[in-house]
Amino acid sequence: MKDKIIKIVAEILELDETRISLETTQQETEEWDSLAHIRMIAEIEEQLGINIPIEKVVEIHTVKELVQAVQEA
Amino acid sequence: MNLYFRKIQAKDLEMIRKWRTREDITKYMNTDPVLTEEGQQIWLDRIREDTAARNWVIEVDAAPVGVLNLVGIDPINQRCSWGYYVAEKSLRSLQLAMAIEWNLYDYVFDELKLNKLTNEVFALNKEVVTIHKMCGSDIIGTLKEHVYKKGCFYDVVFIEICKSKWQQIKEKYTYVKANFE
Repeated sequence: MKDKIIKIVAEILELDETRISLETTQQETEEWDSLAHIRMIAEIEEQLGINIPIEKVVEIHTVKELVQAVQEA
Repeated sequence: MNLYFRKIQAKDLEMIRKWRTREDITKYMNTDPVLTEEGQQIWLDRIREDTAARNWVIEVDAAPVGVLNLVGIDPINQRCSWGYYVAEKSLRSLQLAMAIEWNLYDYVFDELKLNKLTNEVFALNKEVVTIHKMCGSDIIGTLKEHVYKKGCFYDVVFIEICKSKWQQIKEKYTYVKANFE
């Protein structure tokens, strides 16, 4: 699960997977803007067949929080 | 994050001219204007007199990062339209985008006492359409070939939210509260 999410994040941000970890933050990653955020969520929801509530989507600031949101969905 | 909407001042004009003519800003705008120093001053004089519009610099932690505007304020039909951009790339987070939008809803419905807020987004800018939906706005429809720019027609999505809907849903959301000058 974690590896799949990291792969999706790397693809959306157009960054090498080795640059993405659970500690990757939106604040420190310029490519992670609001549009990338939306694309990430949409891709994860489609590939994993889940739905992440809006209230959770807004609270995601790191890859770790993204993984947690997926686990709770 | 401290969010504030400050009225545009003369000292902001050159900064706004540089932002508004950047390719990453203009690509989703209806126009690609050629802006001059003199023209900017005329624009400021005009918007200061325009009672149907409000224009602010968006400040995050006291630093200017973008522009927000309301246009077509119609007291008879109690509606207006809006648009904004965040020029500072490092601050283009979903959290900021949604905080700006939710605070504007509060301003339009609680301060201006209007009933409806509308806006238009290029259809190809589908992530921004999604953000407006996430904030609570409704997609009314797509205006086909509505904007002509650089030799191409662009479809535009028409979006709106009414006061009654915002009052129903706003308690679900937690966001940074901002002040408007």
